Amino acid sequence: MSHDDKKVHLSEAVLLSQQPVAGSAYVMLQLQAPELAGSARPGQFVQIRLDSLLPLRRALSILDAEPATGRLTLLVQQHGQTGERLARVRPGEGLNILGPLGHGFQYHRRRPVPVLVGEGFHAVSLLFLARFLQRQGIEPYLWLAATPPLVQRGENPDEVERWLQRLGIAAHLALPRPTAAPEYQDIGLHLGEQVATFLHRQPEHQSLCELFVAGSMGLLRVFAQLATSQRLPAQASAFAPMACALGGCWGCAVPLRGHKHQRMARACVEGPVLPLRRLVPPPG
Amino acid sequence: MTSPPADNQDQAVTRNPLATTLAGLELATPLVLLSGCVGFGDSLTRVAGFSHASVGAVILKGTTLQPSVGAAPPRLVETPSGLLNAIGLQNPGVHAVVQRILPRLDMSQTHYIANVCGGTVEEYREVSAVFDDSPIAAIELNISCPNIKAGGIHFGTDPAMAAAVTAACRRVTSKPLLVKLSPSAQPIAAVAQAVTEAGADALCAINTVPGLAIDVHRRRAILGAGGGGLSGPAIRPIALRKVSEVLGVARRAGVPVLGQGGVSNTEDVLAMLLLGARAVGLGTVLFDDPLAANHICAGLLHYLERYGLAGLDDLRLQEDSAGTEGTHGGHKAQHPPH
Repeated sequence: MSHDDKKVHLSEAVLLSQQPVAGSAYVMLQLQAPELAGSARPGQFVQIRLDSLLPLRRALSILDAEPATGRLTLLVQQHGQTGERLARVRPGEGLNILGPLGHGFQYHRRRPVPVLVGEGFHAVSLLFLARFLQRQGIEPYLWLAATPPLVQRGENPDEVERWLQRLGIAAHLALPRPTAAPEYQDIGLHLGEQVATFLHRQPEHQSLCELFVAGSMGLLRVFAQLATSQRLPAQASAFAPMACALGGCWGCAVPLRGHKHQRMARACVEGPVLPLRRLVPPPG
Repeated sequence: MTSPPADNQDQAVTRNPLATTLAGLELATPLVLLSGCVGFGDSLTRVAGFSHASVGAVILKGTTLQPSVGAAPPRLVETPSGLLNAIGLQNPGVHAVVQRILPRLDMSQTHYIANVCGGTVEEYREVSAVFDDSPIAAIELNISCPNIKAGGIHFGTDPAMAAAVTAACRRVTSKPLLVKLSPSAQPIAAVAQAVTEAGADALCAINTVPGLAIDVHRRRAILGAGGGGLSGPAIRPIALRKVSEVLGVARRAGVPVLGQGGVSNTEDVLAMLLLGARAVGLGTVLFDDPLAANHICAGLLHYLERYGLAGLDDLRLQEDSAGTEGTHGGHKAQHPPH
């Protein structure tokens, strides 16, 4: 799934539909964008122009792309600048969109058991990966943290579960446990325990599985440790504020560990998907 | 996409109305892609429809003598109509640029200009010397760097230090030498005068405006480096004013000006050209519209046609209405616009 040589398209995509999902916390946008949908891969993203007065476009992970129909699906949080501005766009109107961008997830046939773990809004890229793999007859294992913003405080996670079912995605939703520990760190540990238990109960999977992770640095730390202890290959989606998204401005640098030195990688072209263990600083 | 007409046998028919010159370089259009916005020349080529035919020159990312890891993230924050950045000159060092990056560029498509940075006069000179022995078309000096031998005072804010850098680099290169002026220089005309006398072939104005953003919840600066440089439409009026001040010096010295700072569309480019800039830089606008050069070229051609002008040399500001006496090409305006 390496697509670095593919062209990026700047186009006026027609909005087909806007659909509130998961208790109206999100809006699912379906766009007619044949060039983008034809080459987009899981883990890649697009940039949307919100307003001519805003100097920067907004980066959004791709929720789904269907080459046959030319449809591209994005998920936007209802609240916040991006959601509020996009809510004004009506079906039939155009959205200026740049993509597909970045380096996505790579599925390796020698590791045929994909284990996907997501937390927060960045888990969107994993939902695309899950659907992409399913279409190839590969059934992934998917764990999602039922924490904000995926599940809003006080809301029933069943809403999210029903929405995922409608998308044809089976996921284990992990609820946070009452604890004094920081919320995100705790849910990360909780997810780590669940995946570790899964691997322990199915030892035949250990040599076949690969981890695909998207979430906070707390979650990434937990799964970097798990990947090290279980000797699992692991990929993670990194996030950084972006400007050009084409590798020209070096604004989206993320520290990446090397054999000897740390270097700054551009999340927009070298990532956003990067080797998990190189993204996470060593303990201590 | 609209591109300038290509040359063919009948030059009278196919004269490119957008052609201009800058420090001896013949530019196909007055649009120059600015340093820090297009990497080492390969970022926009990823976009379908992008063509160097719409671009007069490309200024490569700032380059130091040794590799630089750059500033700690976050490096960007959006502000009202602007972008504050602190990249910290991340680059692989001049030798890697010359040996590994320049050979990948197609020098026949456009002019590539190096952007030289340094912490000392000696570093500027050494980097310029390495670029002098390369296929690069010209050298731009970014004199907004802190002088580590002078307590961190920026070279570009002091006429004597700016002149010292320019003179040192002038001695080691015969390539066209452009000097990028800081808006922090007070007055900017004094620095413009100093670097012109020290051997600059063109003046570029302006670099980003120093700025700061605070995260009130975390109670600290948002950018990893603390402060940063503001670009985008927010600085456009400042840029126009500073360019008008620089033009006074440039006219007397007979050197051209590359106008830049918040330029976002055809009207902004025209404003710079009417003021007297010979070429116009595009920077932050490329983050919103990677094909901005294509669109602006089409707009410029439309403007020339609408007002019956044969080319950029015919652009004239209403005489001294901006208090600059500036005109395209550095000659005093004699005719009002049609």
